[in-house]
Amino acid sequence: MGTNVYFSPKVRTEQNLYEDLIIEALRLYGQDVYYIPRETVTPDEILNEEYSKYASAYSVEMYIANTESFEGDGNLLSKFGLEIRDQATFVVARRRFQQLVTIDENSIREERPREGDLIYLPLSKSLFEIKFVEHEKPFYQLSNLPTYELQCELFEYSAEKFDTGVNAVDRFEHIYGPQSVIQITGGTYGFKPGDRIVQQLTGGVNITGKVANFVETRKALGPTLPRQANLYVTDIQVSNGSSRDFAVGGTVIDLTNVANTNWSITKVYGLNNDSNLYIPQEPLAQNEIFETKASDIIDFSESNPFGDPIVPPS
Amino acid sequence: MFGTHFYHEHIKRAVAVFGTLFNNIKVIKKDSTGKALSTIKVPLAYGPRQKFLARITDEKYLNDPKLAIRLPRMSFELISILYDQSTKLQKGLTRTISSGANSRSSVLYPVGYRIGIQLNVMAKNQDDALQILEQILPFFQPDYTVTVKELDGAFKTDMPFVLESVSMADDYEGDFNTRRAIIYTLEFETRVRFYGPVFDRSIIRQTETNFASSSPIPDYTQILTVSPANAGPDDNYTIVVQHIEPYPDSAVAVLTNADGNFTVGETVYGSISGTTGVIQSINGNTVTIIRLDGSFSQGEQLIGETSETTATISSVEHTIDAIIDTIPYEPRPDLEYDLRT
Repeated sequence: MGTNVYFSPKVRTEQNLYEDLIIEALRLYGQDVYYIPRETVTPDEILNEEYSKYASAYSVEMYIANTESFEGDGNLLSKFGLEIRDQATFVVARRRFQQLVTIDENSIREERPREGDLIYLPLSKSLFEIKFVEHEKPFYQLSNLPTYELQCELFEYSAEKFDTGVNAVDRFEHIYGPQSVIQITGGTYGFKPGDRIVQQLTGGVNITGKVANFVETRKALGPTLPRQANLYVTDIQVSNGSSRDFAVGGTVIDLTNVANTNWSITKVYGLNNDSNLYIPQEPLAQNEIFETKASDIIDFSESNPFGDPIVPPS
Repeated sequence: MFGTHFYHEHIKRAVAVFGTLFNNIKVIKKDSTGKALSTIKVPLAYGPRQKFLARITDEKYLNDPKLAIRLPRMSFELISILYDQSTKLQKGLTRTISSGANSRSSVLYPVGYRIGIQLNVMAKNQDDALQILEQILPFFQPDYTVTVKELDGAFKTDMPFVLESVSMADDYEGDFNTRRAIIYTLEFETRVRFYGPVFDRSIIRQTETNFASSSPIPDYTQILTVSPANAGPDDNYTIVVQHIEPYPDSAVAVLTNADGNFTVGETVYGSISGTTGVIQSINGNTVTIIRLDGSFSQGEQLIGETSETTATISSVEHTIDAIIDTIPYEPRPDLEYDLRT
């Protein structure tokens, strides 16, 4: 026995037609999204996890399978604050994904969508992480598998770097990335998100960063009151590999606009300053509020009568 | 019944103190060569909050790019409050907060409670969580103690934060759509003292004490008086001590109409007052009587027990020999009880 040879579903032309129809339907009813492949920065071979970055984004049409709304638990308040547990299922044609791979100038070299890659949906400005790639739906209808079903949920951000060149995607790092806020004085031109800056310290140490936001706090009011602004800086790196912040007193050099000079750093916002400027990307954080309140309560004049460990200065 | 409004914010202050212990923790992401790529100041918050505030604060603009959550982050909350039997003192003890010239502010001794606080750490990667954990654990052996001011700085108290337990949850198993949550839970216990209302009381400047051996009639009276009268507790002053017998030490009586002669050493008594005494000396019609148990009255009869002489007291003068002493006083702040544990 065996299947009927006169009714074989494995006709190549029929398979192609079927796939063409699917692609046509996806282009009619789908959405243009950005597929953002994950790249490894630092693998942890002991704990089996990786620190990732996202350096490219590719526009491709996908169909959103959940038509009514996002799935998942939605917005909820947990002990860690607000969480959005939206889930979505995207459908992409295999052939279209292969085209992304085969274009020479694209750096993506994946044979299939991978778990951990991201999808940016411009419609809702949501960034989804692929949790699971279902490759067997529809289930071999013409003995082929024309689509991938990408089961996603909103991305949990943990200081990953975005440098895709797509502003809408790179904004995630500008808004939610670890930031420092420095007060700068004296310059003429402003900064725009994405500008690269550097501060040169003594000993040949350079601190570089990427501008996330520029907020002017005072216009120039003569030589004694020069222009003043708060500069939100992300992606801060030190040339000697250490972890430190910008320093008061130095000059900010705009690597993007060489004409933008004369900005000097007059303040680096710390724990004892305005709470909105200490961890600006975290509006629910109370680090600075606790510091201010407790400074009136804790008696720092007391010595260490019970031999508690000395907390080193940060 | 209680009625007096007061609010010292004891727990609220404990929350702030606890929060400041963990408000400067950082997570550093490094590349394979050890170069720092990103430094995250770990956000910390008191977990319970009004829901609408969380929404309008964290999602101020609905058009902002959307993420599920930013990690790592920490939160804490109160989980228990228990009476602390070990800190119980006698009822009614008071502590002085401040003193003025005429009054002092006092408060009842506090009631101790043990407060349980749970600190939660959530991270996307195990390495991030472990970085946070290692910045906390070495300082708790198993307690970390800070000295805090109570009642607007009136007192100092050591507030120990004891790390009771550490537990972790890592939901890495299951289907691929289930979110992996790495959460470390650290449970602490601290002690909070609850003070009652602060009340003002006038300063006691004079005391009067009666001393008695057996009879209800006191043997003598002691009067303590502060000098100068307007001295405050922190001033230098003296305490004047007077010892006063309840009865006169002696009486000098002028007698008339005597029908005999009294003798020295004879016990005499008054016909009306019943006062008895012993004649110390006789000078004409004037007698001096000692060892009195009362006072004679003018006009009553003085009767001798032995001679049976009777005479009328035309006038009498009693003498009281008070013993007066002074004690210089200097403030002794070291006598204040120290409530620190």
